[in-house]
Amino acid sequence: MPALFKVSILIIVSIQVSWAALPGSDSLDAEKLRRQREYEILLSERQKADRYSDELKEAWTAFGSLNMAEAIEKFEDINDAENAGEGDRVQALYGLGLCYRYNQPKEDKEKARQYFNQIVEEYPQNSVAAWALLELGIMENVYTLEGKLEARRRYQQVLSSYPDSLAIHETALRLADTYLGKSMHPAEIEVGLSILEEHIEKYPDNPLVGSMHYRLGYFYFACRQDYEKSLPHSVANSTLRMEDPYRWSEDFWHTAMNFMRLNRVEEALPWFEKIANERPEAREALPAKEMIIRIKRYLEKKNSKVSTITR
Amino acid sequence: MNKNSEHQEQIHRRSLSPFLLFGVVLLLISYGISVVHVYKIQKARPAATEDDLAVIRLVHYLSEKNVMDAFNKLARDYEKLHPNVRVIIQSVPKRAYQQWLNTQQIGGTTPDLFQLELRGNWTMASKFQEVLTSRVGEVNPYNIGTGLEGVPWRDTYIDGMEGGYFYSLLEFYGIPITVETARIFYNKDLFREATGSEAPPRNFQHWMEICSSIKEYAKQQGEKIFPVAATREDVKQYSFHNFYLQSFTGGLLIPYDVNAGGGPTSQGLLWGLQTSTLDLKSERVRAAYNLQRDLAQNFQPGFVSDLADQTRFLFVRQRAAMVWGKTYDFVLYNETAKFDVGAFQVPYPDKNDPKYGKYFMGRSWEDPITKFLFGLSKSSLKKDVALDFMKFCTSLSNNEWFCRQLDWYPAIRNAETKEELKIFAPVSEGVSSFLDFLAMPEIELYFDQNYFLYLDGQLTFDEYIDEFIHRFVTKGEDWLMVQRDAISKKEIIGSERNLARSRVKLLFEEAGEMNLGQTMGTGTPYQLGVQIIQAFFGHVFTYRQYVHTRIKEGSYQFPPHNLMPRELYPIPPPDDLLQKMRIQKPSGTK
Repeated sequence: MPALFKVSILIIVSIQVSWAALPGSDSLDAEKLRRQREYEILLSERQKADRYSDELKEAWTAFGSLNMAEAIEKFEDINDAENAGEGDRVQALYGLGLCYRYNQPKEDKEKARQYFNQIVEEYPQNSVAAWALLELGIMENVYTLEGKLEARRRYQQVLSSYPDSLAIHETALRLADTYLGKSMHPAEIEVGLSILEEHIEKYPDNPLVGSMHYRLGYFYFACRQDYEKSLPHSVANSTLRMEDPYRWSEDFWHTAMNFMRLNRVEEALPWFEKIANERPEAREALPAKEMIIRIKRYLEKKNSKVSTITR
Repeated sequence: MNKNSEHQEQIHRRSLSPFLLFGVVLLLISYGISVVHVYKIQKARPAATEDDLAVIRLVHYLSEKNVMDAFNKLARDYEKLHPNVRVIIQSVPKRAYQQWLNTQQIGGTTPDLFQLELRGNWTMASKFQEVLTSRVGEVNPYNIGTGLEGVPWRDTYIDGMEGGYFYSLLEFYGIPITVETARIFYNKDLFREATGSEAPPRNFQHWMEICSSIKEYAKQQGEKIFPVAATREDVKQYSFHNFYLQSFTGGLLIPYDVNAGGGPTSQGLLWGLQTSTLDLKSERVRAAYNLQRDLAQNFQPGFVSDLADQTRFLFVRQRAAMVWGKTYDFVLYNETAKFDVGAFQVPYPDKNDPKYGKYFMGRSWEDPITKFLFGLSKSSLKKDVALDFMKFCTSLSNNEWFCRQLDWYPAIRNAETKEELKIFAPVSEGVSSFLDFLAMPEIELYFDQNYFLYLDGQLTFDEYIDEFIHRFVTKGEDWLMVQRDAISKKEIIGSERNLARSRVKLLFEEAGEMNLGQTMGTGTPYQLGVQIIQAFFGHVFTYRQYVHTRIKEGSYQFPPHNLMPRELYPIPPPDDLLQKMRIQKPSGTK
């Protein structure tokens, strides 16, 4: 645990130092660079069809429009084509798996499993195999013990068999969720927290690191009420900023309250100010402004007491 | 004569009937006139061949003439700029609209652009509407020469086009046009006669004085004039009730906001009540209710059973000096009322109010979200043209002009509006972490049945609130911890599917484009999708169930107030609360 604590401190210090060192436009550039780097990582496993590019495009369009019957027909045609290459077939199998999974309300999980398993068994060297395993895990009902264990088995398989795959980041989040969200047992919760902490330590720049900090920060705060441990993650989450800008003010509020609950009110101040300045129309804006006034008043009073005593 | 020949003769006689002949001739003449009329219209149009003529249709459900006129004007202006385009504006009555639209969508004849009744109807949107995410990031070319030149389309909106963003689909599907807020309309003439001034109330106390003056004036005149015309809906949870309860209890629930999300939390309210640490019979809550009873004395008798049309009628006929309404009512009153109409925001007590001032924490927050959305049909053959027309309609100058014609509040930043419409600007500074009573059906039912009895004096505050607490604690747990989670578990499939749609774009080129800033923020839709699953379906489930179980066990302590200085709370918790919050077990648990 002390090791993890050190890691937390390292995260917070490195984020704060690197951001503080950058003046306004530079921090914007840094944000752009970070996003660009993440983008390149995210597209690093993208593959092309071999022969059936147009047909696959049509099939994906049908899937995107929820025209599952049409999508299934098109994916099946490609899958059955004699001259289809691995690139075509893997894509068609993946598409078929998703179509049967998300054909609401007539989903067919068995068929979906069959197609994803086919990828894993027939094309284990293909980078898509790791993602097919991830899909198999997501499909499980983690609210039942059996489903939870099976999901974990699939996720572990991704992490152990495909350690270099891009899929490991989402898999780590999903695996941690089967412990954090689905159990009250302290030992299980500890496992969930460790999965994410260790993943952040190993892959601090992974494209889903923001979501990992979010889960840790909010879990330590609300459930464990361990405000020391939640703090570095809360700061990291608010600094990296969540994908949805409408959430930022809520996260800034969370970080400010984290400092408040540690009685570090001076450090809470900039986060309340961030809400007031950057999100003036947010629901948290007026409460933040009022909190700033109260904090300043409180600090003045505190400082004047200190100076009286010193004199 | 046998029956058969009789029948034949009847047919013969009918075929020779002069009436029938007359009908046929009339039909032919009508047909001829129509042909000539169509020919004339065709001739009058600028020369455009069938090949290069793009026809787009926009359909909405507002039947007011001024709406049609304003849309038609924009359409004609657009046609002048683009002679090869025809824009047809159609209105379908609201009552029949959704059914009509469904039929069109299923039949594949959906208009290019159509008004959306519901924001975020993901089933219909993903089936029939074009995703606009990448398009709303484009620059609106019709803003050249304005302060919004070069600005991405979505950023030209006062809310960053949040109104058009469908959360569950992670995409933009709607193009908003206006902003809508609720205000109180008033009869300036009547105000002048009754009070000597047409100025709106400065605060709640002044408002009540004006109401008294109007009652007095009505008495002197021997007329039936009510200060405020209200309906059941105007008084209920999403109107006066919440406005005042929120403004009196803003910040009250911070100690129960264990997740520090900053927003109102009915979950926190439940925990506060279950642990008997939150006092709903406090002076503060009592005052919020007393104020509403004071206000209700000014409504017309029997308001509980009146509908919006009846209150509008009372106002227009000068039988009521004020009426609750929304932005779009402004034009209605301006056109139909034979008196000067003004509008004001719901008045709050100021700090000097001797009765309520000390309880006032701040105004109620109004979500500055844009509305009156239009979707782009997936089956449109002229998607680019249709979208370009919407860019034209929502350029700074056209949105300003359009909203000015209709007395609506513009959705585009920097758009000027009439002086009297400025009052409709959303008040985006308001309180949070307030009491949020009504997030479950059982409570809404209780409210519906009993709140009006309280307002009418048939129930005392204690009688009303005691039963309310009982219901909230008994039924609230089932709703918040079981039913609501069950609903969310059903909803997760939609979000997982949308995430899967993004995920495949990472894996396969043929699955579509995946760009930075394509949806919200600066990342990719995949990162956003993962975040939504983790935040809403991961953490929110987790912490609620976790904390609730611990509270039932008696092993959860609300945030330690010994760490956060008491004076920093907006409503400091009572001195004894810290001890009370260190609960053993909530009442009624084993």
